[in-house]
Amino acid sequence: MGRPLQRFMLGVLLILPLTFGVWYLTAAYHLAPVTLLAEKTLHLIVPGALQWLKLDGHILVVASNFGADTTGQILSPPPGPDLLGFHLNPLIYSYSLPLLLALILATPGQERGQKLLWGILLLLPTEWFSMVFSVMKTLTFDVGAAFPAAAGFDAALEWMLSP
Amino acid sequence: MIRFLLLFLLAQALLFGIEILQPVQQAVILPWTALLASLGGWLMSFFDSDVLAQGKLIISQSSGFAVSIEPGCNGVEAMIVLLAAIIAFPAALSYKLWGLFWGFVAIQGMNLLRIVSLFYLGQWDRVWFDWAHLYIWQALIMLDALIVFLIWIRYLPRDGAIDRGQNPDVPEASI
Repeated sequence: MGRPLQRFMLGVLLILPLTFGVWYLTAAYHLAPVTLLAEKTLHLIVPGALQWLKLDGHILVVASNFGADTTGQILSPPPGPDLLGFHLNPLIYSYSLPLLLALILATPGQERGQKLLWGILLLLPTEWFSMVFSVMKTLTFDVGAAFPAAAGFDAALEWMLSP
Repeated sequence: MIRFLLLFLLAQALLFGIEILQPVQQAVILPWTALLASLGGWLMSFFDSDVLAQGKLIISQSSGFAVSIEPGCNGVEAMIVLLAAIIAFPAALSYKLWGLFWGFVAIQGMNLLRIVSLFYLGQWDRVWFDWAHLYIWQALIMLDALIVFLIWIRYLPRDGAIDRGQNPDVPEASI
């Protein structure tokens, strides 16, 4: 193994704790565009199922457009002021950002800022896709039958989940 | 470079597609995951008599804490990424097989270390366990796959064994 590779590996391992720290502390910023895009996408593909998506630090707060009536039945729109809300962890699909940053910083060369920007732009669709489908999964399994019925894909879901 | 990227993405799509098929899960992924749990428990039993491996569970008999090795915790995804990269990179078949063999050893060895560390981290502090489980070890396993790939390229012969017939524009590897 040549020295450049050893230097690179050591560099990545030394920088990684730092980039993980920066990534965690700036989560509200780097997740903001993903959240905005995911919210717009969800309003488009499952209209009426979601009120809003917001970040509370690094936690994604999902406010659904569902609520329970006095008998416990889930309805959309919610019959009262209370609605079903969920907390998700969007950091689980963005851990590649600190890894990318550590790899770029440990690689000798110039234009690191430009490379990082390209990397973030290339990773953005993956984060957006993951967030959209995490919310969809949560609504499907945690809201129950009311969500696919309201979204109009109850038949498709029944077919997919049938043994 | 573009040919490599396209092949790499295509191979990943294909291999991840195969991985989630139910027959593959039943015949390969779940038995492999259970084997990893047994192997992890067996390794830990050398220095910790409190450890019990049961199916896909590794249990601390005194505290009752247990980790369950699930699909996704078995290093298969990192293996798929490495396999896709090795398939996409032009080299003789024998070199590809060597790369895969050493990649398997490095990734699964690292994964066993991950399982052991998570078992003890989980008993010590839940916050650190979550951090290590959800973020740090994920990144480290992928980094492991990348490093194996870089070392593999480093050891590829600069002529002859690289299959330049398929792509004469392949640059010589220099890391």
